[in-house]
Amino acid sequence: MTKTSTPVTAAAAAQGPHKSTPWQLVDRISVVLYFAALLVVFAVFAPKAFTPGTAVTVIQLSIPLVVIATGMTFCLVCGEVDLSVGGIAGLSSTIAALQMSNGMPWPFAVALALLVSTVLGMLNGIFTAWLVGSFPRFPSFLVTLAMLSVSVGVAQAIQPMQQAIAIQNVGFQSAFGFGSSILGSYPTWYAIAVLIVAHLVLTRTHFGYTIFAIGSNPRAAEFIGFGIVRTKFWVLTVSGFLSGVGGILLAGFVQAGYFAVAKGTEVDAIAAAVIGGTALFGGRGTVFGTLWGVLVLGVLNTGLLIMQVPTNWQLVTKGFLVILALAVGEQIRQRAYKT
Amino acid sequence: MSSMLSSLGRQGKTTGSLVRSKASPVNPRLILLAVLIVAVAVIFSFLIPHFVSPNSLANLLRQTSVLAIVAFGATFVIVAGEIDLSVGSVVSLVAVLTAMMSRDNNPIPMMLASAATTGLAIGAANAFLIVKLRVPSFLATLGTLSIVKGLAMTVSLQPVPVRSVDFVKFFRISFAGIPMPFILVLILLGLAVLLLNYSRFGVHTRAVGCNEKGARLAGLNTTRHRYIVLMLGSLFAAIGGVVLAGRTNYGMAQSAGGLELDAISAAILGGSRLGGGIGSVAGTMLGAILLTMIFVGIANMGLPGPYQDIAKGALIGVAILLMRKRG
Repeated sequence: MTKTSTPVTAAAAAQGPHKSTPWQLVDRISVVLYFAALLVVFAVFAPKAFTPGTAVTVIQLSIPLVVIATGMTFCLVCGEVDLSVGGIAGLSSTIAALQMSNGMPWPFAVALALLVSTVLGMLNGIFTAWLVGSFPRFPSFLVTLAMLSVSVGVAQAIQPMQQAIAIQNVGFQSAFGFGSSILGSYPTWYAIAVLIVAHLVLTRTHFGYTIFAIGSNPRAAEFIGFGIVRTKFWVLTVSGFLSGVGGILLAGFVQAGYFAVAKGTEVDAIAAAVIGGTALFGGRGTVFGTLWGVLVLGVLNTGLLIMQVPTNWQLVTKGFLVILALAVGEQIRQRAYKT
Repeated sequence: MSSMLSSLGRQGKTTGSLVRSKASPVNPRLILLAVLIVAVAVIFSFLIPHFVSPNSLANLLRQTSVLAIVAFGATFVIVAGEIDLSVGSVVSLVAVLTAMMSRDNNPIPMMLASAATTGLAIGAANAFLIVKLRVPSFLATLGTLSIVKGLAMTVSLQPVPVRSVDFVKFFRISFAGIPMPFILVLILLGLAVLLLNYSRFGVHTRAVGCNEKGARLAGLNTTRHRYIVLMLGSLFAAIGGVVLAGRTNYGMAQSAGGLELDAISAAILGGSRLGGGIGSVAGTMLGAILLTMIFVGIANMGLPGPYQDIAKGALIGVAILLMRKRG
């Protein structure tokens, strides 16, 4: 089972490359191989749409999700889950759009939106780690489910007429809008910055090490003296903050703020992280694995859209391909670690 | 690993409920839940006129029925250490299929048989992914959730009315003010309590959820057992789908979205532990009633849509706070 291999992979993630068998190598780059396979399928079935323009679309669509999924990776590695990311992102986009339409300068509007997101993440953390820490396993599942409901409700309530609020602020559009070239638009660089910082925090800092320790064995981590309450609090806070950033990026992408702008993102973020090799029950995961997972989902969604598959078959195909990715990944992992 | 270790670590506390579920005469959690239900009812009865009247209570029970039945199945699955997110889709697929079959004038036993077959087949598919291919159950069932939903939409995008008069009439019967759907819930509740608390099957289920490796070493065929539990969970969802079609006279592909999360919330409020080993069907029943009461009460208060979401989230939060273990 994967469970027994957790310390090995966690150590590998923390210490970088080490001597490995071919299967272990395949295991480490399995998500990249899957991505390549998807590209080949895409190229065969829709050669006309296989253009740089489509690639730009895929990457642009992936940028908000990758930021949110990075926060989700932190949660999952720590053995928690954050189901409220979609709601918090929607609320953040709504607040930013509303304040800008009220005439607030865009940096303040964005800062306010991020502040609210962070505070909601902190509330998640306070409930999960401190108030109901002794609740029978996975308090974060229920706490963040309730937070999803609350944040979607608040976002709807502050929206006049419950309609999307268009953003006409020129400064915001240049700072968060997407240009035709990927490297020329700022959001790309925000996402890259988030990825690098998150990677360094997860692999090179005491905080990151604590997250892995708590995720792979909370009792042992507690005995060693890691602060479980504090760490879980900060992990959920980070997730809330990054959801807020994701919401702002989505607002920049669609040039509007809307409570349902990130509806269902929690599922995509979890799927992306796990396709990228993060263990669902903690102790294993990398930020760059999640990045590849997001790209896989991006190619999948865009491909199905371009091939004009009807919605019902899109659902079927997507579910099937996600399961396929996980099943194959699991088989590879078993061969790699012989358990 | 973490789940296994922590359950090992907690065994000192949990063996009581693992071996003998009747160690204490009444679970304190059940009392707490009952008190919570009464408290919420009292609050709503001040805010809404006629909230506590025979009619509205019967209506409440009718609305609880589908959630409760699905949540019973979820309880078994959670106690066995798995999670099943596909149940909401199974409910809508079965509801659509049942309605379609009644439109084509199939006899009622045929409708029930096809519903059961659908449920068992999806459960078996889930179990194959989880047990054989070792995909984590959260993700495997997330995949089947979207596949089954896609299938339901393929069968029919429009709501399908139920044409069989006998079928609809059956769900309109009520004994002593208790509507038929809830009578079914009570029967299933009895069966589920017997199965989980007073049978070898229940002990095995808790053993698999608490410590799968230990259960296997003790000679239990855990693979087969996990198959059976996942199929049972899906079968409960299929029954829920039949009841939904009978209660609302319609089968809709979009009807039961999000039901899986409500069912899991009900089970957890009722004392089941995500990660396995512990759970109570009676607790799940009360959890389902509490959740439905909150949903119905907020809808009846006539608050605008968004406030329903806020209040629902806040009330679930308060319920969690009250339910936490002391110490």
